[in-house]
Amino acid sequence: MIATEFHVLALQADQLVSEYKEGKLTADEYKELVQNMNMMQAISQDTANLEENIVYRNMIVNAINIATALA
Amino acid sequence: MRIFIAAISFVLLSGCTVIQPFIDKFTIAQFDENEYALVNKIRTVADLAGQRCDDQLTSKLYAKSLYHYGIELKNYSQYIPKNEQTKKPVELLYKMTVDVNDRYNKQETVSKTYCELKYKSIQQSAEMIQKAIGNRPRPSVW
Repeated sequence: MIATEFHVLALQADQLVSEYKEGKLTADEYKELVQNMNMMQAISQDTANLEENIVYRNMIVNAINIATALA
Repeated sequence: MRIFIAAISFVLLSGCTVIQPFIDKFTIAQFDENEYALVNKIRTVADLAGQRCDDQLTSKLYAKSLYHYGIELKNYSQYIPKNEQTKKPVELLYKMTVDVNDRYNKQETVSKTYCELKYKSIQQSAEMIQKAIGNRPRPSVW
């Protein structure tokens, strides 16, 4: 997970807890939003992995293209 | 040298089974503009919905609309070859749209805080997916 996304998630988790303490959410809504945070974390991890693979894939393709051009 | 020959022989004798996971990791579906557009729709609708949390009826309509786009995206992504790495986050995003639609259907009045936080998280999740799939390699023009 990249730092910016982690920061966004941390801020949102803080907001969620404080709003619940202030009674602005029902217990059921709070429970769903906590699950939501976990899903966001998983999405963040999955997309970071995908982006990393895209970078590696591009490096491999570039290396092959350079090698082909030199051949 | 003997170890090197043994390693090469092992790879050759076992066929592609050893290197296949490595190849699979880096074979990624190409950029798909329809998939990208659907994720963008979800992000945009969630953004607009988050601005209308004072109005129950409007936010309920947005929830329904998000659910439709969510299911459309899930179905669209499902059978794109080499798209495994996108399917999982897309399914999670779909689950979020199901949850918000269910909440508006079963609960008479949804709290403004729930509305704001839920739509914000859908919008941010869609943005993360959009950023990742937007970087995918474009189809070659050659």
